[in-house]
Amino acid sequence: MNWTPARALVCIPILLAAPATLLSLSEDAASEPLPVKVTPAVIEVRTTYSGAQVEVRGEVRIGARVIVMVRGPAKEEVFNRKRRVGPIWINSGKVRISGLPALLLRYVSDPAGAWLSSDSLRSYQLDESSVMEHVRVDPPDPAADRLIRADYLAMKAQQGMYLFTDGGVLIAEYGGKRASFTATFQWPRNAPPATYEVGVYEILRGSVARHSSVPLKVVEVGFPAAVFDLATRRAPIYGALAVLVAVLAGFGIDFLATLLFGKRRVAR
Amino acid sequence: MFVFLPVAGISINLFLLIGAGALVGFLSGLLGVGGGFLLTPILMMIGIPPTVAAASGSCQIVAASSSGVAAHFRLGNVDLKMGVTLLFGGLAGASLGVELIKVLRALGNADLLIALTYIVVLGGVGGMMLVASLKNLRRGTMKPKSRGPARLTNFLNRLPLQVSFPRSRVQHSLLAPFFLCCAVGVLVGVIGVSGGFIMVPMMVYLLRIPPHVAVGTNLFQILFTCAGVTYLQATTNHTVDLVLAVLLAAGSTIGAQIGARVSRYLRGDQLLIILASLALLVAGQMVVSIVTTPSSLLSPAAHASLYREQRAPAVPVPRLNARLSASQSGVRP
Repeated sequence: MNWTPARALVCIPILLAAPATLLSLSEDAASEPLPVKVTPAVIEVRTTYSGAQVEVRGEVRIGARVIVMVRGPAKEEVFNRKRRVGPIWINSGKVRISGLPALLLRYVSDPAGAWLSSDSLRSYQLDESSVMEHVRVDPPDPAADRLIRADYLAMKAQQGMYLFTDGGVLIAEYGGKRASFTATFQWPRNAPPATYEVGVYEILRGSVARHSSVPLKVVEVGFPAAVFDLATRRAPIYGALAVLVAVLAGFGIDFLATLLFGKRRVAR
Repeated sequence: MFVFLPVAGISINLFLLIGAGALVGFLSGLLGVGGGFLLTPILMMIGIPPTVAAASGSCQIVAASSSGVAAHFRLGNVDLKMGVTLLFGGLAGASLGVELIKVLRALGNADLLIALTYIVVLGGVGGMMLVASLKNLRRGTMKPKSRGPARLTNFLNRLPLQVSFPRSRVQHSLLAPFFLCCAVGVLVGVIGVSGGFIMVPMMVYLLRIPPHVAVGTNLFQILFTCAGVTYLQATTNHTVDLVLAVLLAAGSTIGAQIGARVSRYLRGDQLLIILASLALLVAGQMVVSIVTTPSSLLSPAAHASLYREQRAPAVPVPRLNARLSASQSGVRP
């Protein structure tokens, strides 16, 4: 092709416009909300409840990595603090631990690595160490602070309330520009009724490009809800009922036992 | 099969709960102990929050003890007059115990004192009971002269308000069971375990009540004490989980019936040997747990908060409730 001044004048705007168009497309995509769907949206807790299967689905851009983070409401917990006095260990005082969510589950599309900057990890609290930076231990104990934090984490992990996995999110590319992701996990049966937050983070070029959060409610329905309502709103009736039920259960079983084994009075 | 506990807010295996209840109920029916020392740690171990475990445990003990009382009553093992006297004495002592522990905590090192008292009392009572019962067992019969120091017996006989307790086949001043139970109540308030371990031996060795009657009568006073605790916990702290209590009760009432019936085939000394062995076992476990380095510096606190407390805030518990919940919690220092 022979380059003439006229052709050059036509090409220059095109060459200038292409990156701008690509950039604006990218900005449009970045400004779009991250589509996320959590199924079920509400977990109903009935009498024989034993947890639930939760699925988080959505769309991200090609090449993006995904982190799904489930957080429970912040909660202060009180523990007995063990100390050594001479040769023995005793509970000596209380420790209040606050600033942490009651539930924390993290699933990722790729094994943990250097694909997310430490700044992003810290600002969005996406790993253990950044989450633990927000712990408040009262009263503070600099000498044992590290151990207390580690023990707390271990305890929560043992209860199934804290989980940091190196997987759990599957990404399937389609259509050239988009990819779908799916995270399916078992909802911990120990997580009590409350409103939880399912956060999804799209990671591009080492930082969080977009994120979205969806509430996930765990609510009691039916018999458990009625019992809880009675226990909290009509406590005197509930208390009397509890004693009555217990006494009747005791005497009832005794009555059944006498029917089964017969009535015997023993003089001693 | 899992079942959701509405107040605890968690799901637990149904058979695990019934099994735990049955074990505690069996001991309750057999030995006349409340079982709180065993039940609360078991419930905490399976994930029930400490506050709910202690409060619902007391509700379960109401069921187990009423079943046990009914069985023992029919067997002629419940002395109502003695039981009422003990009940009042125990409540008075418990209140004193709660006040004492407050003073000790204010002075500092209360936990150390509690730990040592726990070991000394349980180990001492268990050890003495075991030796005395083994001696009696070798002799073939329970001899009255082997029970209780003579000086103390003479002192008790000289006290005013002497009353006959036909069911227990003893005559005592009303003050004797009242103050003995009061003293046990103080200890219970301090060390935070149910008084059965101490009450039954005291009734046998100091008040000379036959072991079977001591077991039945102690269950009688436990029934009323725990009914009071359950009501107070339900109305003030909202921590009684009725579903949990009913499931535990289903196991424990059956266990208590079996325990009461098994006790019929055992001699008094044999019952005391089992009780003594259990007391020594708990004391031994306590020694091991305090001398070995714990796996964690943290352990769940008995008043740890629940989510639900945002909806149903916990309020300070009345004195009686605080003491009795501590006694039911079986919380080790």
